[in-house]
Amino acid sequence: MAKIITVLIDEAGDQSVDLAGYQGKGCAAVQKAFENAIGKSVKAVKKPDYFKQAKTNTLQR
Amino acid sequence: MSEYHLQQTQYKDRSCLVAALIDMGYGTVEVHDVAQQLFDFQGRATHYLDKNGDKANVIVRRNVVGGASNDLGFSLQPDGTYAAIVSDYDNHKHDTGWMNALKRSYVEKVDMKLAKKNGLQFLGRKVIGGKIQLQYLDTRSN
Repeated sequence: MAKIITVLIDEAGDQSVDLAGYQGKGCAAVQKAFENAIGKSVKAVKKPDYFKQAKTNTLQR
Repeated sequence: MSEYHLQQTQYKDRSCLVAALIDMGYGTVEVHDVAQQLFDFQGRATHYLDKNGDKANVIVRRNVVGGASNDLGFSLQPDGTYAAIVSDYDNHKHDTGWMNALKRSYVEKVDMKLAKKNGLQFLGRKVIGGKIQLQYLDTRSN
């Protein structure tokens, strides 16, 4: 599945990041990169794909 | 009044700040590694924030701001951010709406720079319900 990053910047200049197609830590890394870029926390919208990797890890234990 | 006030910002990328100021209509923006003196509408050096003179690293001079304005400055702070130095007189022009528009422009430029640096493919820009939407394709393996 393609990994798409959608950034929304509101009228006050605050932004949220919607990540589609990412699994597990890849999502957090992208979110962190955008946070570091603007110097504040970014509201991230996690899609179901995010939890797929975490679930797999649990099953492997 | 010409009195200056300092407004904290989250701007850390100087080139994006300059580009955002140009987007806001200021065609000439001075950039200085060593902060330079600000002047009021009559060309007098000001000393409102610092007895040795109000200084800034990024400056839009009063003739560029227009009218009977004072210089607009952004001063590099110890934490790496650029604080805005705005005079009381120019508060009507550089008000909350103007500052928000500058911030929007700045954030957009920082995002584009970040995306380019990380090899993200830019898919497009839209304005939806007053919000700027930027989309990127991440073709990296992880």
